Amino acid sequence: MKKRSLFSLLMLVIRRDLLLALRCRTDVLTTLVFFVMVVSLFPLGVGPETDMLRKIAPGVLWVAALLSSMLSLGRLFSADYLDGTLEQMLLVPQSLSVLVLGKMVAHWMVSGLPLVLLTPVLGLQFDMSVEAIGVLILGLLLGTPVLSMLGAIGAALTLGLRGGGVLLSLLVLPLCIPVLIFGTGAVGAVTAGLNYSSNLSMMGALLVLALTFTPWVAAQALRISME
Amino acid sequence: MLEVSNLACSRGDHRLFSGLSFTLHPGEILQIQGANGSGKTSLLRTLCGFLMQDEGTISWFGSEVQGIREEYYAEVMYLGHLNAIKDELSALENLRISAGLSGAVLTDQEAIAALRRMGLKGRETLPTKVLSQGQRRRVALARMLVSEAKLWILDEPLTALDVGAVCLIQELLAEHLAQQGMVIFTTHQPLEVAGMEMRSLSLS
Repeated sequence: MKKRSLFSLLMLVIRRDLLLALRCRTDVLTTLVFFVMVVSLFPLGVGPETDMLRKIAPGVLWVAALLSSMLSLGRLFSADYLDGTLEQMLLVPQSLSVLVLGKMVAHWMVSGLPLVLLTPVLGLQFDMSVEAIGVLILGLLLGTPVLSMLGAIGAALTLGLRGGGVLLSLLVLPLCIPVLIFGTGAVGAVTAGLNYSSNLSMMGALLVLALTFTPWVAAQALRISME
Repeated sequence: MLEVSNLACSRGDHRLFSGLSFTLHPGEILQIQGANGSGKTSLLRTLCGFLMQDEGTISWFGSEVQGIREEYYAEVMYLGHLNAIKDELSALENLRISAGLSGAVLTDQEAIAALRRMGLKGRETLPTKVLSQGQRRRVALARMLVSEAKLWILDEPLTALDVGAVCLIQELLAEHLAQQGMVIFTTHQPLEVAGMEMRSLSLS
């Protein structure tokens, strides 16, 4: 038998979590349907004033993405915690941080990426311009991984607690405010005819920062929660 | 060799044990005994690093395990109360993934051979949620067959197993000890390993 490298551990964890998501598709679909529902309720509620809809579109889409990522975060570690596989994961001879990074990536692919792909369709409901939708998608592509990564810290800290879901939202949502501000700011800038690249650069910086630190922090939080 | 000296552990305000010392050399097996709630599982979890001890040290071949966590974990296999298998995955997928997490690359043939030896022939590709309690335990125990770890930490390995499986576990333990492995376990059922002296440690 050969030994595994860090990269193959990462791929193993991603493949495992994607396979599990494939076997319990309803969990994945509910968060997606939730996202579509929340976003679609706004045009119905606000009425057919296209100016107003265009203005609130980025905010609505971002907040809905934020809320639907909260829904799926509870499952990130709790299923593994309940059946004991998390104990085995803590015993990985390579790095626990890499393993946690793998779980974050898989979580994003299952609950963040589909939101990005649905956005063009939903943007049409708000009469957004093609350019604005493009910037919104770029922002979501940079921002939703940050939501998954910040959320993983919260999920690790609230592991095994009663009412952990609510506590998780209270912990994580304030941390997501910068992502929300820059994400909606970029779309606001492009519709006002301004330069949007500074907003997107800030989001890129947030993504790099989160990639560097959150796996380690979440790994430490897991060790604390397992005591 | 695993050296534990002057170990103390508590859960909340309750001190479970203190001043616990023992040494485990290659080829030795140690049974932890004690009543329910005396801290057997806590001791095993402390050895795995899930719980922090209040006092004392745990050393692996002379260096403290906190300092060499990753090298130590490469040599440890832990089987807990929970089976650590995923209901949605098949026995084969479960075994390959858990072997992968412990750092080994397992081919399908090796995994199938291990599962067959555990008496799961014909059930390798069924989702484990359709298996019985004892069969699921067998899937978890199949990790013993593919593990290259030196130190096995087994918490109640015999629960839900029938007589045949218990005999098989005894065989596996004997093989592991013959290859200079080490075993620490707890059980409330009689467990004999042929040709081995069973040391035991009582927690009270």
